[in-house]
Amino acid sequence: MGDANRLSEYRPQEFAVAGPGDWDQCLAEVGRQFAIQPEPSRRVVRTFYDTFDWRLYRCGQVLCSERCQSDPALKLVWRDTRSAQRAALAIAEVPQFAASLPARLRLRLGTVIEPRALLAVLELRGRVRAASVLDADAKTVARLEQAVWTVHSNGHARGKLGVRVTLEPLRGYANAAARVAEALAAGGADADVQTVLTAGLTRLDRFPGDYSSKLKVALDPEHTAQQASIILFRHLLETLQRNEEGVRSEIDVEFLHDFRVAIRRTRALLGQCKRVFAAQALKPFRAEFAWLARETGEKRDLDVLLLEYQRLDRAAFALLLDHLEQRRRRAGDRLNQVLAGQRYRQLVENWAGYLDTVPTSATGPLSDQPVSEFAGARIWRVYRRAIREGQAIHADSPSAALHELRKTCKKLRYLLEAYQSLYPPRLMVRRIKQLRRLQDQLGRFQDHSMQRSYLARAGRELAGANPAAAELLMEIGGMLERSRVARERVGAACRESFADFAANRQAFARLFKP
Amino acid sequence: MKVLALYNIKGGVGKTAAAVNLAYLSASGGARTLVWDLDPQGAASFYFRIKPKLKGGSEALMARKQGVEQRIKATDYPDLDLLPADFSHRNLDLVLDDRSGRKKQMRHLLRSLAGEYDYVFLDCAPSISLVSENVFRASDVLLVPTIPTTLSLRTLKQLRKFLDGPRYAELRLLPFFSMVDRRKRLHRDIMENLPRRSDGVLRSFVPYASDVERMGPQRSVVEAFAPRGAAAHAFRLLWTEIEQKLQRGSDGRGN
Repeated sequence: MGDANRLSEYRPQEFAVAGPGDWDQCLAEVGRQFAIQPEPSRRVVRTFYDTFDWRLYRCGQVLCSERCQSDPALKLVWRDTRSAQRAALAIAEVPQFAASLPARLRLRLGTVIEPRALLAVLELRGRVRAASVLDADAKTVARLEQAVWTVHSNGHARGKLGVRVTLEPLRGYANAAARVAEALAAGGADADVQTVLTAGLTRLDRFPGDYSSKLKVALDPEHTAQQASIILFRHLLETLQRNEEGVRSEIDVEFLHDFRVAIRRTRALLGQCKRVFAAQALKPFRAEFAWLARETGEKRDLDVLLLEYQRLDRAAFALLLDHLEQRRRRAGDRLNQVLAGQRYRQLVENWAGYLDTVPTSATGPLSDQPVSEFAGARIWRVYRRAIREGQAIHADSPSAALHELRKTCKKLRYLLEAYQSLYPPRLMVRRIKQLRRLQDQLGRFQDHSMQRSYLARAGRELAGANPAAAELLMEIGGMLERSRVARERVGAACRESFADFAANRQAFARLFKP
Repeated sequence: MKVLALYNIKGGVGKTAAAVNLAYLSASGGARTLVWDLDPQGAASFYFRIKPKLKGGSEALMARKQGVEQRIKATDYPDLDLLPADFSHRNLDLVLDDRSGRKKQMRHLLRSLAGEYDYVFLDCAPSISLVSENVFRASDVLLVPTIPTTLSLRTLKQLRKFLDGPRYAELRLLPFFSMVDRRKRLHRDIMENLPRRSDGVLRSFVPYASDVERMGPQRSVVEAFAPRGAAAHAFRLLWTEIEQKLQRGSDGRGN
């Protein structure tokens, strides 16, 4: 926390200026109080980076690369908008993942972006004129940068931004910066402007943070159950489609994760909406989404497994890792075939079509029920099922029982998230938090089970194919045993966690019990 | 965060020149660096063109927390900041004496900056006092610029003796020869004959160079206005050697 608020008064300030003539006016105003040392103007390509889900933006970090036309050197510029800390680092190429960030930034940003890839979100090209603002001792007290940017995308120019001026205060010279800002305003600069990132993205019909994997849909309590469901399904379909390209190109593993979560949420809601739509209308969609879920499972499992095994000694585990990587490649190819195939296209088209044409007149017994009533009833039902399932679990229960509980808790979670806009935010957040603690334990249990299954299969296949794999097999045996022990421990933790969760029954009842 | 103090009881040995030039090299290597100008003469502040003035003087500075944060100023060089001097530092030992934990105050103050800087260079006033003891307790490394004369070596020996013992066991002493004039026989003799390894004196040394004197009129670091000169070269070698020693880890005083 050491560097939080103190430096925030040194945030760069952005201004807009009407034209080049006004820039000269601004400099003249600043020149009344300070000396100005201009630098030669340069043609610059500045590209902003972030993950697909805007992780850097969401925590106030800005990362961009910069290249001058006159100088082949590539710079990576980072800025923390919350504390105004910054760094400009020479790099050979733009980092794609956390591991390839320069050391200085890896510590700060690594955990933020891991395991997502950095993507170019905005490319600006333009002429930049920088200047240092000096005091009577020729000490730099602030920096100014004036730029005329053109937004570029896929090799084409997509519009110009007006003349923009950035004032960068220097630490310890807040007063000087304030005076420079006043002088700029006196020269006609307008401080009430969007950031260059926002302004640039607008030209591309985008805005920062315009994708989130969270299900944050604002529902109107006056909506009917059917209207609300259609809104939710549409949102989830859009999420599905937005992640398709990333899944196909395997940009990073989270695209498939978000893709699958959208499928799971759709299925969970479909399961709850039986009486909201015409009888049997949803049945084919339920079947098709179930198929799609099955087709994406193996690739995701292997993504997770290989991420987990990154820390294994490559030399000792080469056979195992090669085996798993081969399986993953094959699963990836099959997945891409599915996505390119007719059956998937049909599902998406038909589903989108159905959501567009569902008549607003009642088509199921609950279609017209106000969504606030509907949501509470569904949540309460699934909650009670989770409690029943959990209470039946004890130390000797088969793993399948915990897996069932996990699936029910997932459904409950998706319902809570889908309808959260209908409830007081703080209370909802608390319920979701309590559920998440239990889910984390159940998730760990599931991870162990999944690992065991893949490891055992790998062991069997390798044993057959490669007699020299004896050493490796013994290692795998060891891993399986350790995993068995760990899973038992996690199983006990699940039971404890469930008891904690079940103790909140009254709080849940207050919110959801019809 | 590593704290390196440029210290010598004698004045005029090249402490400040070393402090600002080494700090500059540290920052240009990508490490976030702070120079703390403890000398009431404020030479480091002068080189950086920053006024040697602290709001509320030494008192307000040592009142911890916001004391430091609000007084740090960015130099013109990226990643290099300065905590300016103030003439009230002439009485800094009185200020320190007035507070509890009189020998550890600087250390506490520096700890609050641990997340912000990789290296802190303390440009010390020539003295031995409560301020120096604070410096010894607060530092990881004591860089001692030493002119190669008999008397200077004697002073170095005194310092070593003072720092011997468990209280300063964590402090590494790294003396280096400064203002070396190879035209002077005494300098040559001492440089050539001193069994440096056993005494832990660094191999790199700083020559007596006009570039260093020109730092005054230039108000800048040598790397900025005379990067190809002997002084700049010497500081680069010196910083490389110091960094290597730091990376190799502490093995007691000396090597």
